[in-house]
Amino acid sequence: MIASILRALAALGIQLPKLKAAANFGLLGAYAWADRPSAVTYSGYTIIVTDIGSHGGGSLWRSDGASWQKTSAINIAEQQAQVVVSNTTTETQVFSTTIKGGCMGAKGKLRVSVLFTCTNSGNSKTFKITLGGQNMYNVAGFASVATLDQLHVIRNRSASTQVVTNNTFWGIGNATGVIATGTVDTTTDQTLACTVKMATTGETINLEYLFVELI
Amino acid sequence: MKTIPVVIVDDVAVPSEPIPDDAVLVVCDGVQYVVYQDGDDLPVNALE
Repeated sequence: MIASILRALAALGIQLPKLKAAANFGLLGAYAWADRPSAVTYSGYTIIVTDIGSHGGGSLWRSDGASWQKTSAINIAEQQAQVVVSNTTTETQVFSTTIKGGCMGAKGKLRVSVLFTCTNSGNSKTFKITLGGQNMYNVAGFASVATLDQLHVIRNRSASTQVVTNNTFWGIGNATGVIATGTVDTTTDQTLACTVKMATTGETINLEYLFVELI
Repeated sequence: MKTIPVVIVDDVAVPSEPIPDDAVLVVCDGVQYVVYQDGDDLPVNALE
């Protein structure tokens, strides 16, 4: 059928561009990250990773012959419900997700977007983002704000070292402090968490949204 | 609505089990996480 259409088009002088050979460019299948096939064996192929990607949508990865590379930025996790913390001075977790071992690669980045609201008072509040238990951001002692819209980037310098902006500073902009580094081994599963803390009870911090992208 | 007790791990209050994916509002008072889901009446003052 297709051949006869092509012959008819050719008879009319219409030439279609030749398609690149499809070998080694196919969709291999769908796999959990832990069960993905060898990138060396399946160079050039694409797979769907079912458990990296929010809302159960998974994500596409293509082998470069050595490892699986994401084909685009991936929203890997998000807090879909508003989380309200009040009447406690204990540091409280408002978000947690697992960063699957090896998915960041040696030069990968995590971009964390956060929107908080809080009681606008002079009382101290603290906000942290941790990876593998290490503080990537530890903004302590902020006060007299009602809304905090932040963007934080954690970049792998290698698979087991990270760099972030001055980690006591809000995510984007100028700071007088130096950059901070981490030593988290991202070749194994690691927990990325967000916590808040208030100096006094009777106040509230609301996490309106938080999402994590692998870029 | 579901109530999840707080446990303290390394001086941090964390839920003793994962927050359900269908949560629409979570309220933590340091003792428990109260998880509101579709169909639950939401506490109005928590949304302010």
